[in-house]
Amino acid sequence: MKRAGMIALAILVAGEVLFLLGPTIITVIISLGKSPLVQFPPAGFSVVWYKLVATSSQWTVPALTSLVAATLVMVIGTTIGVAASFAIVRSGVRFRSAAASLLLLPLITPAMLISLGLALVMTSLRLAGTMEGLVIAQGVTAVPYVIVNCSISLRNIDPSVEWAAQSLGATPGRTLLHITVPLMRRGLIAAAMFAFLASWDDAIIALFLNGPSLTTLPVFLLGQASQNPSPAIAAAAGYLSFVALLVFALVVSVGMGIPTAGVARPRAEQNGRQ
Amino acid sequence: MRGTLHTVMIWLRPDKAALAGVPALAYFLLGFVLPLGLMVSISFGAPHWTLANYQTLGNAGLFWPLLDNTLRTTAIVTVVTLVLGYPYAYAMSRARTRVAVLLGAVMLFPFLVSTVVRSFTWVFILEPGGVVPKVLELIGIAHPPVLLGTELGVVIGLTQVELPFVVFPIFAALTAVKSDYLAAAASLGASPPRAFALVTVPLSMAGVAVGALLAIVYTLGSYITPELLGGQGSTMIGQGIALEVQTSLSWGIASTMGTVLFVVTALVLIASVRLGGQRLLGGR
Repeated sequence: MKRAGMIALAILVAGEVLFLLGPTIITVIISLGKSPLVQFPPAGFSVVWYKLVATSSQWTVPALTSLVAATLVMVIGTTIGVAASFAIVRSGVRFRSAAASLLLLPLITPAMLISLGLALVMTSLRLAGTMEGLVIAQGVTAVPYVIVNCSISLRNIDPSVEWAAQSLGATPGRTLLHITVPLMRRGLIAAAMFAFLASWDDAIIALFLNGPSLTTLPVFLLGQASQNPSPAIAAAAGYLSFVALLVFALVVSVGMGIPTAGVARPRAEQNGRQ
Repeated sequence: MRGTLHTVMIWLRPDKAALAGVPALAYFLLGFVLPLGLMVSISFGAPHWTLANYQTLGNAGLFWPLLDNTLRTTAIVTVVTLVLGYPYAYAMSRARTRVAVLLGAVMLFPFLVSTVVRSFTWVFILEPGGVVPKVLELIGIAHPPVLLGTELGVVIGLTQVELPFVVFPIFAALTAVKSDYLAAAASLGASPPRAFALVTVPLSMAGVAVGALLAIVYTLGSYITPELLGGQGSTMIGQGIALEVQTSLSWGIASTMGTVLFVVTALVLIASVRLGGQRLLGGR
């Protein structure tokens, strides 16, 4: 009886694994096809579509636009979010936990609403269709991700380590740079990654803020996918899945503590001894 | 004036660290509160303040099917993700560490591939002549149901998109159910299914509530998946907003639909806080 239940559970979970990974695997196989038509299984294999996506400006220009926007969003979002995490965790100001919950509201608001509201604002400011407008808009959803990740890791740092550094003569700036930042490195990496993805993955906020001279990769993909699904789109999906796989490997290795466990702790001890 | 400010400052007890939160607060007010406020005020015809937009929308006849589709799709997707997500989270919580990490990674992977990619990969699979219809024919279903361009297609795509949001909160809640509790239940004579129903399930309800809340809120406002996988009969409110902005350039009607979506989302959030209370937002 118990055994039968376990087998049923294992079959269900295996089915779900197939449901989650199957579409991506099939798309990658389609992207390696020779024919200009979508075929599964493909009649012959080639990397012609990958070459096309990597060399045609139709694809590279939106990719570059997305890369620039996501990098800017990452820098701005992480800076503002990290500062806010300090205020939330370290200040004695009243209502700080209420304010913290408020700042997280963009995470549980449908992106379409944020997009529409910001499109109204950016249009009246004449910033719609510009990189500035896009980055400011996407940053709204990036900051909460940074706050979530950084305030958790900041809360786990024992302030007495910082007091020790300061009592040994370190300035507040030095303490921040040599003690606090290395200790919260895991949270910072995760925060920066989420801030980057908030822009890199976004097709909804960018939808109304794209202009004739500004198209991000997800918005371009959305247009292509609804007009003519082709092996070239599958190849673009292949590239994006590969990037996701790299990011994912980074997160798993950071999350499981493989690179940081050996590095961060001794360094903190060294700094403490100085 | 200075006296009042001084009193407020003393009462709030600001310090240097509090100043670090000012940019984020300003960004929140200008980038979130102001835009949504503008949307709501435009829906009421600001600066003339009329209900004309709401009357137009209510009489158009197009809006009600949109709202109906949105609510029905959201209900179906939420139930399906919970039914599929609970056993998955349970398996993760009971498996050996390596298997659990692998299952978590599998769940996280599509989550990291962009939503646009995740959704259009289903186009290749569901379209007539795609993998799923072919397999269905092989099994012996002579006339497989039309999947692409229907509500069923949208539900399949959205289920994959929302599944991680449901699985991770339930998994977090289930890891808090210690095997000691189950041993205690067993020692008191409970059979394993009884212990599961009376101990494990009630203790994991907070995770189920958070997962359901996220699935509801994200599905209500979805745009990409229904746009790529749906058809004319399955249009959702997010698509309605985009259509008004992009093709009719009708900001008033778009804002009105946005305000309706905003109110529905807010009602869901308020109801969940009322029902789940502190456990949902402040609880650990």
